[in-house]
Amino acid sequence: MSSLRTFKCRDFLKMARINLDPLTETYALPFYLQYYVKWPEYFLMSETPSGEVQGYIMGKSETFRREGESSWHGHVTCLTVSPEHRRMGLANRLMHLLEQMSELKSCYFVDLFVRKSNEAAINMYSRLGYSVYREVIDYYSSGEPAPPTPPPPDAAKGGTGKTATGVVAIHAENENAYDMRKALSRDVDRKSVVPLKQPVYPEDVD
Amino acid sequence: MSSGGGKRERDKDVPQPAVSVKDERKLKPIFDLVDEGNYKQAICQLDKFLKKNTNAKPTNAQQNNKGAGGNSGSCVAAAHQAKALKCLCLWRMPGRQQEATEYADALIKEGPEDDGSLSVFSLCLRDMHKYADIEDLYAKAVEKNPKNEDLLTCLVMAHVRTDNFKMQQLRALQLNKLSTASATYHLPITAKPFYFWAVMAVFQQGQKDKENGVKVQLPLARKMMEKSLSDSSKIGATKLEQVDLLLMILEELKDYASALNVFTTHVSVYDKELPVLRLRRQVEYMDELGSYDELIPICRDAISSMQSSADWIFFDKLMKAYVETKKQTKEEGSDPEEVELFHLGSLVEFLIAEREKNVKCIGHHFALLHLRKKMDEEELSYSGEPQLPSMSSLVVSFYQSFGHKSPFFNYVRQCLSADVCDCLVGEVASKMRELESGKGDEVPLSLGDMYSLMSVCEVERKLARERGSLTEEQCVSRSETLTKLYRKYLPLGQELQSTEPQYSSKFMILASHYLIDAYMLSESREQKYLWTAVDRLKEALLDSPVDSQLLMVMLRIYQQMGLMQVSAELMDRMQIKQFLLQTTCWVVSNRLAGCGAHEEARLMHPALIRYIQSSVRQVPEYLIQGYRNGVYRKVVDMLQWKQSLLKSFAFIKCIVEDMMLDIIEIDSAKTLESRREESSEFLGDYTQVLSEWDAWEDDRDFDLNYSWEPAEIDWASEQIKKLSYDLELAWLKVRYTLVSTISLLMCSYNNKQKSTPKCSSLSISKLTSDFKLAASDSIAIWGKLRDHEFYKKMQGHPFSPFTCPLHLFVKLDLKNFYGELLDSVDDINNTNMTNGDADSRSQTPKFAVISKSIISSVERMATDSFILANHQINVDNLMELKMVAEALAVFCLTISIQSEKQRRRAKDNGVDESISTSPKLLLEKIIICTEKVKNRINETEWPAEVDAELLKNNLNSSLSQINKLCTVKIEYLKKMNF
Repeated sequence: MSSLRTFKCRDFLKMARINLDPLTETYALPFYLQYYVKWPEYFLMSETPSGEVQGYIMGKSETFRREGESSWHGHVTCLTVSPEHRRMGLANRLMHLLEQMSELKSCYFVDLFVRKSNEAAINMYSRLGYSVYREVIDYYSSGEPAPPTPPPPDAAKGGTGKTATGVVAIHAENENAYDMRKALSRDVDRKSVVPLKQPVYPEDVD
Repeated sequence: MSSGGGKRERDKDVPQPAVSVKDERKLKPIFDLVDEGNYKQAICQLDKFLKKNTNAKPTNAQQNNKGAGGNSGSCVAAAHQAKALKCLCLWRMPGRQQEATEYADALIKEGPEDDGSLSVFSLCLRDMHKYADIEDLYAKAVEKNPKNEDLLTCLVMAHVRTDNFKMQQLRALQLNKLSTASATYHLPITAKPFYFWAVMAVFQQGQKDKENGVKVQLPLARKMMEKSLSDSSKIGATKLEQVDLLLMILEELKDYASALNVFTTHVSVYDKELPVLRLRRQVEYMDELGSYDELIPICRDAISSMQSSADWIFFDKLMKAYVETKKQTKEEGSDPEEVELFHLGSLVEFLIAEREKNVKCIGHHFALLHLRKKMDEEELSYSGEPQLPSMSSLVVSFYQSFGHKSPFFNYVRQCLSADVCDCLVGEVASKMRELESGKGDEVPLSLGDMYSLMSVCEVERKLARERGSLTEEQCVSRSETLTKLYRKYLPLGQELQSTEPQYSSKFMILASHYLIDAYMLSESREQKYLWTAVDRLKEALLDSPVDSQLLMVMLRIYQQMGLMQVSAELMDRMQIKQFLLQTTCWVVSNRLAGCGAHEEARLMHPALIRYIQSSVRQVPEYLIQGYRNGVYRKVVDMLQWKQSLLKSFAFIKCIVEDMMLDIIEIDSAKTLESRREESSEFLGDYTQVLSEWDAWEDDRDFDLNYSWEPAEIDWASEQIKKLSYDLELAWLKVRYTLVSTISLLMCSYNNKQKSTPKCSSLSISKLTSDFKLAASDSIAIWGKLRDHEFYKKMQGHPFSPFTCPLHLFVKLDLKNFYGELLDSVDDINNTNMTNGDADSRSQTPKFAVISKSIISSVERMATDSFILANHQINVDNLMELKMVAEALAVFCLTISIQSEKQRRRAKDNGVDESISTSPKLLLEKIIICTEKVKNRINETEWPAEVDAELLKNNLNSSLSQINKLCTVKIEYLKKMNF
């Protein structure tokens, strides 16, 4: 049983239990605020009737610079459901809402990155209609945070040199990612999900 | 980073200095060096550039420039830009911040006024936190270039950074007027973003001053936005941000009728919002208005059409509409049955019918449960059919449909009275026995079966806690059963990755809770049960190494036993950082430094302080982005968040405890002074902090662990949280006033020695009196609380929310000890200040003595049962040891500020010399005691269940750190000729 609403800053005070989950990265405040002010409609919280956070999704809509207008798409940056509320269809609901939002914004597709080793997540996304579009070599670097990491506003203007995340989880080894996609109604011919035959490198990904 | 100085050249109507293309080309590589972080090289290049730029001298430049373009103007602009860049480099280079500050002050005086220089310089000033200077600089630049939109925009944003709403309003209106005059396309003056910025400024003034806001600013903001909407509607140019801003104002005015009207009239602008959220907003307005007759059909339609994805909000509002109407008609004495729409029976009929349409839809089941609860609480009933089943029957039915889901207990816990629990357990007893011990011994059953069993185990746990019926032995036996269940169902999760919690983990968490019960029930609080619980948790952690719930229970147990190094390690292992640190650090914050784990505390405190400080500084940049993106609701939300960060309880707690560590480890009063200044930048000055003491926000998250406690004794409940907060806040006030008094004393003494003016106008006697008052208040709060049944029950419990050592403060009579100590130093201080006065020379200054309670505490430390007895750790003893060491450290520090002359005069006047020797003797005794305890720890033969290595390492480390503190203080006394 859940109630859906957009994110509010005070939610930070209630997110400990869910963010203590090791697969849910905790970023520095700017990371969240960047999404909050740019794509607030993509930052959704699901809570129990008593106000406990069950899960949240954070995403955005954007265009790949190199690929032009037809790459206008929705992107899932972070999806998490607390262990206690898993297997209740909550992730499906949140994903569905993000797709609905992307449809409203006339996106061609929705994409996301997932660790190649995270079979549970890959299976879940496959069930939801996502397929592997391409493999990105060493997308998750050892000793570095998992991208994507939007820069703080200063850096967007160019030049503070600070990272948005501060202290983040350190992964022991480089790992490839799957870039998974699902075509939306605007992509009638489903061109956006035709898989690439060759893996690509992170620098090839916008 | 880009120079950007040339971009205004396109604006031919506005003559202003700009960097020439030639200079821009020269500066470009230097900007690149800054981007690369090569500040040293950049400064070198900048110096060369400035040397060549002959017009760089500020006076000449100002004279030649006169605010217009041209060669001299562009040279000045280039020089200013170079200087701004140099200032930024200096600031970012280690050890050159003082130089950067002086350089910045000089540049502020020069008053750069071109876009490029101001842009770079404001970046630098932001880093330096000189926000008011940015406002001044842009204000001066705008004065000289009143038609420059970019400068004016930057000025508005500079006001946003400082929350200067009034100026923000004026400048935004000025900007709007300017932009309208220069616009090439037609849009009403009231429908432009700059106009909305002005409205936002008015709105925020109204929010800040609630009393006048409702009468003046909010109606003005409303009028402005209504005009805006009317103007743009005429040309069909209504925007979402415009409508939403008006709605925000109406919500603040609580005019929901108008809000609903505006929303429904302009609903088309919300076509890019999720339908469910759009509907939610409409339903919320109707609910606020009490328009239940309109609300009911909307909610019913939403529930029927959305089925399993129906949002709880629609069920909740639907039930509220029926129940409120029923209550109203009951109060009015009219016959509710006459109004068919509001007949509760029709609601029950609807929910049951919907439930039967889709049995898998959890909302309808849950709504029936809630309705039953609401009706029972409000004593509501109705005649006719269908009648709402009893709570027991509804819970059993809910269990049959959803008992196999993991959050079952979480959903129903509010509905579980003891009778209902009994009924449910009775209904499923045979099935449970089968699942517990029957056919599944060898072959694991399904996940659904496991959760069905787990759900009942959770209900049983609540029942056991509610009745308090289990004995120590029964608790142990129950924990063994649950451990077996954990092992039995473990194979179900064999495919899980190591980063995922095992499905059956909760059995082990329940098992550890029963062991904690056994510990609490045992006559002498047998810690063997806690160690066994730790053992169980360790076993489960082998299967799910990063399960935060397992780790969190373990953390609670360790901190209860005073094992703080491993507690800090567990925090690290859980990657508790950023906002997680803010909401969870309370679990250990009283005991880290309180048990002597100073090094660990010295890591945690700054991490949190840095997080809050940097967050507060970063939020304004996102406020600006919010303005630019037109997301005004988010702007207001972020602004409130910034304010709440500044009022974070965790933040001030860490600051105060860290300052206390500064004080007791002090080797220089200068350090204290800079810490005082640093903290007052965020906290405000002492008087302000104290006058707004009750405004601190409790940001502790109590919902970190699973809880199965009944509401009245639930350590995670709001009621208990409030009790705990009152005590914590009172204790913090004691610490704050104490720390402030001592640091002021040290700073003013330091300044006197340097023959500089006093560092504060506050007097020691005022602060001492504040301390005494705070101590009396906190003792009174504690006095009331200790009679509270819950407080008594939770003493020594690992999940106790009452961890502050106020009881030890009382036991050691530290209120009087510190009070007299501070009085005496103030007296000495005053005597010192009036040194030339013959009358004052004849007075004997009071000297503090170490109180009997401290001396007897030190005597007690010599006993063989101190800290460690019968294989049990006495955490209170450990905290007492630290408290006494801390009190003596403060004592040493304060008496050391007497001048040699004063001490001699006191001696001549017959003051007991023991005041100078006692602290040393006592500190030596404490050292001997800590060594003895360490020996006992190392020599003890620990029972098998105890992790002896871990215990030894942790206690030895804490004792060593306390030991070190005492040794340093003895050295300090020697150095000060005591």
